[in-house]
Amino acid sequence: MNILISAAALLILILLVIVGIEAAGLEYFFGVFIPYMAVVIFLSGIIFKLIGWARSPVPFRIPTIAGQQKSLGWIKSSKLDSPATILGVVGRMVLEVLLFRSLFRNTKYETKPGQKLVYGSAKFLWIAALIFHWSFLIIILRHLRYISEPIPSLVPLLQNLDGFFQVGVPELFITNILIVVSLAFLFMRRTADPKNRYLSLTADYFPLLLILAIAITGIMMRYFTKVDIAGIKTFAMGLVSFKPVVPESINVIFYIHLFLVSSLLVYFSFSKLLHMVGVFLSPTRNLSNNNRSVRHVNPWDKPVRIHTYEEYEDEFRDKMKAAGLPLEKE
Amino acid sequence: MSDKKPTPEELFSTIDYKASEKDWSKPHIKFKVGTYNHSGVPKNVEYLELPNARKWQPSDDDWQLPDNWKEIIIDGIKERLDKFRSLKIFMDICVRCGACSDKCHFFIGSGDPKNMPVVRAELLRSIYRNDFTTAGKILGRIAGARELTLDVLKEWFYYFYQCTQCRRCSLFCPYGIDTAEITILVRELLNLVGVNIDWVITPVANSFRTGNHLGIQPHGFADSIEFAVDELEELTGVKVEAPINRKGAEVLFVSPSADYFGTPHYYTLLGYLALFHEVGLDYTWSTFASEGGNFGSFVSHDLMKSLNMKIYAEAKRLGVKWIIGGECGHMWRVLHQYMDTINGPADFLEVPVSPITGTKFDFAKSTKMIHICEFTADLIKNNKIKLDKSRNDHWKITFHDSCNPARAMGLIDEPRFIINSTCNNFYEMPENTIKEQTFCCGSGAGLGTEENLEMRLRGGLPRANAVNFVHEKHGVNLLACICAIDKATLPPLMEYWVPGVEVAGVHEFVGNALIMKGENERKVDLRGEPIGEPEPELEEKQ
Amino acid sequence: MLNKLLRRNTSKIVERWLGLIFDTYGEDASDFFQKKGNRFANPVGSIFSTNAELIFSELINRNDKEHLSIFLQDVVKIRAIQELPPSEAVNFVYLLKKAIKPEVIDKRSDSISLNDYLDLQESIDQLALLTFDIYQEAREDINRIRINELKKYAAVINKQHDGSV
Repeated sequence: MNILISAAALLILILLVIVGIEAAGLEYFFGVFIPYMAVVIFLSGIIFKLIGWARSPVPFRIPTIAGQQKSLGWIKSSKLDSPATILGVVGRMVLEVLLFRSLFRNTKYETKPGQKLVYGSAKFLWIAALIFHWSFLIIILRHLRYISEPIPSLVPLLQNLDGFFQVGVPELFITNILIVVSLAFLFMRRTADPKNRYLSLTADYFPLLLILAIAITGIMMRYFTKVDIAGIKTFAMGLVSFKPVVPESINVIFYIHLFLVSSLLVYFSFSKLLHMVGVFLSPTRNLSNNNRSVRHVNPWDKPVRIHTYEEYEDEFRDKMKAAGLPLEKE
Repeated sequence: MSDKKPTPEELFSTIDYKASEKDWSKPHIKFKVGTYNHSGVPKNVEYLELPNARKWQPSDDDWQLPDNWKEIIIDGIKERLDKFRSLKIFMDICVRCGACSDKCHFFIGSGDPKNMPVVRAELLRSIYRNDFTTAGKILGRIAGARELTLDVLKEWFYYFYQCTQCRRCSLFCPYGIDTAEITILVRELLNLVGVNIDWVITPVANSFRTGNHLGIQPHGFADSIEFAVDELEELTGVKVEAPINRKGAEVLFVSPSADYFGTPHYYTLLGYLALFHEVGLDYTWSTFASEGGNFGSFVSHDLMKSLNMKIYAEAKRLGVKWIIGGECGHMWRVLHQYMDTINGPADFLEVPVSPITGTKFDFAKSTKMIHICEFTADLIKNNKIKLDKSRNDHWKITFHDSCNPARAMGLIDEPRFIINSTCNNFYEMPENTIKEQTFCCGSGAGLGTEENLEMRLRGGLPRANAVNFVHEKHGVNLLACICAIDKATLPPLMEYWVPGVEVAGVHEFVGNALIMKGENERKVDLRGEPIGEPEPELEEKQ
Repeated sequence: MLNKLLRRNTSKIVERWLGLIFDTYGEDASDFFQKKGNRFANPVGSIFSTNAELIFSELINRNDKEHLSIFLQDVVKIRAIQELPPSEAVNFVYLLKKAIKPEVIDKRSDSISLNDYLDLQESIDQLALLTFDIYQEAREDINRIRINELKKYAAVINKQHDGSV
């Protein structure tokens, strides 16, 4: 059901563009208005969310510790998993954000004979997630060549690396394959395992399908339905220089690609995709384990009802006296 | 039904046992005896000035909630979103990758899919979406939102009192989403409408009034410490001092109250007493701060603060210089991660310095409170105490990392160092069940009652199973730990799953091995059992 | 002959039996218990798988009551704390009959004597009775543990009320 709704939503998006471009001739609307609007919603959405998060304080320092604390000098402490310093925290966050260290943690499993897959299944998630995110990032960076002049030197470098195998014309980018395969895997693992099926929502399938569709339309343009690259570049440069022009000869598939990207941007700040930003603010990861050496202040700290020693002694004075315990007031 | 007699299988198929709820959003909880805790006793709810004190039980159809209970809960969520960035982040960024799903001991033991941490959090997240997010307001169920109903509330009660706040899931989460944080906050919400359990409410009320969760009054406290002193003399021939409420001592010692009232905690207490005497520590107990364990932390940040304040208040009144805390789990979560914030700064105290070794405990320079294991490890490392390891030879030991010392503090090597210095036979359990990956005892955070026993035995299965492994492989007969709840609830767990394994605190071994000046020849350990070779091993299972 | 057949098909039968046992849990639980073989990450699944095989081979080979008790114990102890009504908790033994049936029917071999078949049914019934004893023992254990906990707690309370504290 969740999958059906996601797929239907995606289909509607695609149909919208096809009808819009082919039948209604809304090139300007889909080519200019929608992308601008999407970027505005994307940026303002993130900023709005960030402000919202930042407005709530972090009242307590609650890192999840994953290693030996820094205590007695002769005990080796774990600088990354139980970071006592800012540097340690930065290291922990870098590994978390760039290499998904917690996902990797999925332990060394002892397995029963004949059940080799069991061993891997935990690491598969980590590998697939890593491949997907890195491919996605590289692909986005590669796209810089459409919106910059001169092209930053990073881009050709990435393209050379990515096209390392030099297969086919135009040469095949490894990330293109990887992103599709990893997305397919991430989708499959949600549907194949009842446990994951149980916990997956529409909001989990939809972005996977959306990004998959974006990747596929992109690949189609590059390798199959040849599009007018020069025209697209002119168009893209027009967009980024705020002098939008809509060239004539662009294939509808480009509009689909562009519209889906715009949809993703719009969808971003209303969805779990916010994890990209939110991960940096997670208090169990971005705080150091120096709780007992540096005081953390809670800005909304307020007095609570307490039972004082005086009240306590008043209640139990006789009994304390009889037991020979020292008293404040005899 | 047709006139044909049903086959047994047909009959069984009519039993509604955990029908697969493909769609978890429509709950209906059946409260079965043995799997939930009784409600808070009204007089104690009143004593704590908590809302909606009344006679009720979770199994009742009518929970007698205030008419505007929904409003109270929704307002409560809003207030907490504004106060806790953690909550906002945890509500917004979960991608449901499922990495946490099989990390919860309750899920592993029960297979109940709502015990997957991600779904436990979704129970709240779905309400959050419905009332606080644009997508949820517009798209409703498609966006994973659902309305708050009485059934949802009952489900919250059921599942958020099936979480021991052990934080194992948080370790594996790529964003560090911490179910313990969510559990504390949902329990706060439940409390707003008077939904609570007695094994939290009554201990909190007792702690508030008498200083400890069992409600032991000052003369009772003094009695049991004196009794322990006498018993230690009988066992060792050494008469130790155990000052109580003494002003001007250098150190205040605070331990969980079970140490002086529960077994096997009691033997750990004997260990503390022997050790402090032997090194000549100038210290005092307190009757006012006679509980380190903080039952308040199982239910709300406010109650946590209101119980925890006794420790600093008492340190100030008695004029001590610094504080040592005993072996306890959730207690140390509060002491390490919260105390300084909620009741500090402790600027009237001094940075702890061991008077015996001269070691300055810089890592506690702000809270001024150190863990007894840190204190003892330092003593041993500096050769300040004499130990006879062979006195623990009748034990084959494994160590259970208590959740909070491991995952909130990182107190991992200190207890191991002490065990290895006091015992000859130490065997680790398998790697993914210890240290930061330790499995909970299944009874923490207020769940350790007899009425909840079946649930506890389920939640404790992953831990027991790992113990069973070393029990069969190495003949382990003692499960060591540094937590009062562990000491109370691991024995029944062992009794059921791994008969033949006892439970002990780390300082019991210290007490056994410690060579005291002027002691009699030790023929028995602190339990009064003969010292020597281990008993012949239980016949091994095939 | 029947025994030979069973021995030859042990793994098939045990697998089917386990499937039937796991099916008594909800789909999600069933899948989790079944899928992960790790002894520590999934104790329930691994104990069931290991012991089902032990029980079955003991049953068709020596059929020694003491051995069977040991193998049954771990499984029954788990069933005893899973909110199952007693009938359902011990029913897993009868599921073995169902697991064996296809083997016997498929082969429909004349070499399987009715007598042998009835004997087998008889031993499974015996196994069920044994299971019931163990189940009852486990439940009594639980109640004993429960009573002990109450006693411990009551002792503390009493001490306080006696004034001896």
